[in-house]
Amino acid sequence: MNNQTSQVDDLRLVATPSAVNVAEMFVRFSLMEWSLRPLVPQATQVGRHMVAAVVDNAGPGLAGFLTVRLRLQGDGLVVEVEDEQVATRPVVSPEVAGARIGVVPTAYGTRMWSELPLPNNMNAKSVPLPRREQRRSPAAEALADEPLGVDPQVMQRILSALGGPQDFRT
Amino acid sequence: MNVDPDSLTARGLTRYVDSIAAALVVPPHAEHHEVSELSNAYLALYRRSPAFPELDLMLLWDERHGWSVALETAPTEGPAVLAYLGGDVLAEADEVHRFVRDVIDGKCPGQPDPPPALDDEQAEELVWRLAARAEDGLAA
Repeated sequence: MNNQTSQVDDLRLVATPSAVNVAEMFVRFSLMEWSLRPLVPQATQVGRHMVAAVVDNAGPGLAGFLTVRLRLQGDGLVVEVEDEQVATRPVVSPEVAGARIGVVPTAYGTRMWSELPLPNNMNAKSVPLPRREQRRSPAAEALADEPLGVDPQVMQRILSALGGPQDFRT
Repeated sequence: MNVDPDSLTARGLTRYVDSIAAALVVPPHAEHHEVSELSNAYLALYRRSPAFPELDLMLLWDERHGWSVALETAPTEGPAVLAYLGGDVLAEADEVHRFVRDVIDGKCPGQPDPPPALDDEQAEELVWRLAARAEDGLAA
């Protein structure tokens, strides 16, 4: 069996409760980029469970960091979550959504992982590279098409904002 | 929220959403809100999260749950809420501004699940609070 990693993506987050949602979206959109949509339900459940365990381990007011990592390896997808807290170990179920979860200590804390088989006898090398495309919302398209300066009200707001709140268009 | 679109409450909602849009420097054509059975608002944000560089962010509000930040996805892909602000459904503009900034900065603020919906008494209070905002605007 070839255990060489052929694709990897990861995301480091503050271990607060909302990290569970952000991690889920990261798993979901990464797998869609890799054309592995059939794995989304199981992988997101597994990822949510492991991230929630890290958040619970952090406790209120003590949020550290965690890293969510997806690796394509051999004929499987490995979902990993690293907890960077050394003092205590996250508590996870041994199996979630039909997938076994392993827990190993690292020099920086704990790594949880689960390997999900790729669908339809695929292997890691047959997963297509992601095709990154810019996606714009209709509202964003409208703004992009509209030359700045046309709407004096918008310009006034932007000019006012230069000395005030952060400009979220930059 | 069963109120007349020309009522003080409806005008108060407009004033409130406009104040949030102004704090985030969202121009009028990137903002939408409506008074309906479930009144809601949408603001298109023009900064993206480094975690999702290909996807736009939107700031959403509804009268039951208040503010949330979500990824703009295809309608068939289901909700993609990154975080709910929680707390007061009429959070002040600086709090919403800070919430959005922290989401974009990857600090994972707020809460992952929708806050509990307002009960009948709170919903009634919301009608009056929004009307008061319109009156503040009239007085200014």
